[in-house]
Amino acid sequence: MCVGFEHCYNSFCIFAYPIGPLYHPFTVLLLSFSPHSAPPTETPAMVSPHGIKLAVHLISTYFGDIVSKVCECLLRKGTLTLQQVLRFTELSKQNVTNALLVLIQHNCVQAFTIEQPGGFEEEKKIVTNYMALHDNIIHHMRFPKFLAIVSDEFGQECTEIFEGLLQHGRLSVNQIMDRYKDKHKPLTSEENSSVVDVVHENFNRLVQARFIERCPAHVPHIKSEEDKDDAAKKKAKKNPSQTLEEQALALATLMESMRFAVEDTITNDAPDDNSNKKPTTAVVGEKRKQPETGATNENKEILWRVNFEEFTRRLRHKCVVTHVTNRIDSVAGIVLRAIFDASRRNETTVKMEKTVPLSMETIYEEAMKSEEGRSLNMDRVSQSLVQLGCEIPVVAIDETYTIDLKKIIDEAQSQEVESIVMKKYSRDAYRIFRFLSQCKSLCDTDKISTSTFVDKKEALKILFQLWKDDFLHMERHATEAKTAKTENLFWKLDKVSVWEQVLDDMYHAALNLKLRLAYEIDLANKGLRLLKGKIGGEEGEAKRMKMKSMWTVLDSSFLILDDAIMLFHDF
Amino acid sequence: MFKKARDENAQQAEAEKKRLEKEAHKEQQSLRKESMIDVDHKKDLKIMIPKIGAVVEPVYINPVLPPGHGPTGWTGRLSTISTTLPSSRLLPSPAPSRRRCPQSALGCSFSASLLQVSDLTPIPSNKVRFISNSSLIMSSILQKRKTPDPKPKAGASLPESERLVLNIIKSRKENAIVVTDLKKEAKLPQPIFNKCLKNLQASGLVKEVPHVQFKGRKHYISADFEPSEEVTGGAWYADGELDTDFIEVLKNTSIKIIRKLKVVTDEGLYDFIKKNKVVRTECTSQQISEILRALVLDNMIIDVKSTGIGEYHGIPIGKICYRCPVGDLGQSLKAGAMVSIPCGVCPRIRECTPGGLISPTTCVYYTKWLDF
Ligand code: SF4
Repeated sequence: MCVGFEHCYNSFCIFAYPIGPLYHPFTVLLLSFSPHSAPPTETPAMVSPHGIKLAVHLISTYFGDIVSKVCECLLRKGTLTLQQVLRFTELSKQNVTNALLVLIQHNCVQAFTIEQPGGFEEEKKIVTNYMALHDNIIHHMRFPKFLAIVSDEFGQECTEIFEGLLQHGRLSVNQIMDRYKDKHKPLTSEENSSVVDVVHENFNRLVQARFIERCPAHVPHIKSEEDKDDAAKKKAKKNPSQTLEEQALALATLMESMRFAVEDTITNDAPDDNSNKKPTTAVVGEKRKQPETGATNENKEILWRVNFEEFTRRLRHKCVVTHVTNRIDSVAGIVLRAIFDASRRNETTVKMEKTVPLSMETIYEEAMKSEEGRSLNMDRVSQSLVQLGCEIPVVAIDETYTIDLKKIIDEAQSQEVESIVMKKYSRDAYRIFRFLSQCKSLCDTDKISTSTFVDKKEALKILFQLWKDDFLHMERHATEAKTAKTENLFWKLDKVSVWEQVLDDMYHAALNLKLRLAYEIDLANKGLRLLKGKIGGEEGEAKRMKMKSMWTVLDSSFLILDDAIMLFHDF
Repeated sequence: MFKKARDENAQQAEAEKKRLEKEAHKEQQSLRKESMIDVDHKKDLKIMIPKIGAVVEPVYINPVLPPGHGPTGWTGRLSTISTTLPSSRLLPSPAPSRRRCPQSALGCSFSASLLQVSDLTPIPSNKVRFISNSSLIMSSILQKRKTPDPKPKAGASLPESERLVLNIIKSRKENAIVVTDLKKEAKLPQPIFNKCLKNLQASGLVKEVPHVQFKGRKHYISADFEPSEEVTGGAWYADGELDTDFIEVLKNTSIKIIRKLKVVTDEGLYDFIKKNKVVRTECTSQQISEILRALVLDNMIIDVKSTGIGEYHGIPIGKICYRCPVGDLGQSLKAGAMVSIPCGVCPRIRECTPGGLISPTTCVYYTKWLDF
């Protein structure tokens, strides 16, 4: 029976063991070869076909075939019970259970329980469901980026702690401490005590920066309609379209104050002396939490994981600043960066459509803090704000300014798609595509041709080509002229579907890059083995250099492509 | 002595003149014989074309018309005729529409003439095909284009069929009519229709115009109207083709001016071009606005709303103006994530699967890309 969750009486529930990173024997076994980790933050949306393929490929590379098979099953079929997974994958129960444990450990799967109405003369049942978190799986390929951000901001020691969390998915502070001590073994006991301080300090810095957070509830329980209290009913009324998965994620997510509450976890996290411990504050006491609000069990430590949301936010800021710097100028980039820095604490969601309103003085002061912004004056800052789309009144009294981030993101997305159209087709196609992206309704061929200065026949050819490749939507409308019935073709750019298609292509391209890289490495290894001893000196060195540069190109292209995937999916 | 010599000379000249006249007469006789069509139901007949080197056009014979209107027709049985033009046998041709077929004098029975030319397209000067019909056989004569007949006054004393065709064309006003529609509406036999059209064109009442959308089809418009934009394609079209050179010139000039002036409105740019006579060809303010919008689509310039201050001084607040972007827009196009890898612009991406016929491990695009 599940020890950790009072609601779970399901014999198929995999939580027969307390979920803790290194406690489960099989998890420990698997983790010994698992390189990375991650957490669930976002709601599961319809995943594109190649998005699934890429996720399965990543899981297969990191955790092996059995885990990837279970993961693929969940990704393709949606939320399933253990029994269903068993049926679909045809794996043994032990294998599936272990695979699910690994996936949960690495934040790739979220479990939740739900009440199922009983059949004839049967009682209601509580069933545990498992859902794959596609976004979190994909985040695994971004770990080098996350590490670089932490390393840039906090240096080596913080990076070590952070790396541990990436590798193991979820760790308690004690485990982090042990890991650190293990790594720096030859230390005296005196040094040891200072090590504890160093780890605590660095850990606190990571939490302060919101780079890490407490794990969400492992198995939140979704109440049935009758069991819901008034508040829950009100909430449900507000979001009538919320899917089960969305509800589960919302329930699993901790309150903002809880996610980053750190003091007591450090003092109270000894695993065996907390059975009688009374919470000293509300935050401290939340070691054991209701499954609805998300928590770990009393007899377990508080687990920490990487906060992907924060990294996504940082990367979003970086992307927007880069775009603005390229599109307008470096000063606009500095001003926007200052705005982000000044409003970091006030951002509530990742996909903020507008920046937090700030006064000119605040923006100016923040800009002055950076080296590049030191030479700026107020006029230049206000000029940049205008360039960024703010309207500056002639007489400003307590005026605050916000930047439309959505517009910038949209622009960056359009630019990416347009560059594809330009390279794949022609400049004329690019002009036509841009024209249609500005048109709200259907446009006939003549209008497109005259507005873009493309010969009518040529325009028609381009339009057909774009339509064939799913870049455009086409409709035929018969018009009754005086003499004859003619059929006119009307065109439209459906941004939502085209953007989805482009994102799918990006996932596809990323998968191809990964596969080609693996192939090249494999080929090089085989080649080197064959050539061992046969060639040496300069020739061998030249070969090695060539391979290295090939891998670098593939790797860096992958990172750039990943930025584009984030631009279309996460920002 | 001088007188004798003069007399001798005069006699010689007289004899020479007579000889020349005789020769000329003989040659005329022989040529006249040669230009006659042999109608002995031969499969291939040859006619001698009076003169080579000039544009040769068919003459439409209208059997319905009374004599005097167009060339006279003749009747008879005629199979395919091919004509060849030996350059050595040249003869000044008689007036085009008055030439009488010598065969008619021989009592042959030809009912009409039909020249199969694809809707008045230029005819090869030395080969014309006649189509025979067992009951209705047509024929025609090729002859060189001479100075056209004096233009008849518009509408004055036009034959009925021509007036009918003209009225149909006129009814379309500035929208030209396609030849097939015209034929359908006129309901005239093909040769008559062709002749009417030809005459109307020759008399300048009707003109042929290129249609921008249907380049292969002939369109006619009344001379009283100018073809509509639908037909010509608008101001940016010349002879049914997009005037790309003019567009390029205007684009480049506009960019240069915008770079110089920093911020412009469409009227501002038009005034500048007009005042400084930057472009030799006349252009309208509407054209300048269109060029500016196309430049925005090209991402060469950006459109912004005037704030009324700084660079926008003097431009009403909220008015759309155009400026060059500060950053490098071209760079951002080249630096797209997808365009820098083979898969991003791959035409086979939909067919590419791991382990498939087209796969990333066997991909030639990759091999080429990674070939340092
Ligand atoms: S791997 Fe090659 S064939 Fe496949 S999508 Fe990429 S470029 Fe095209």
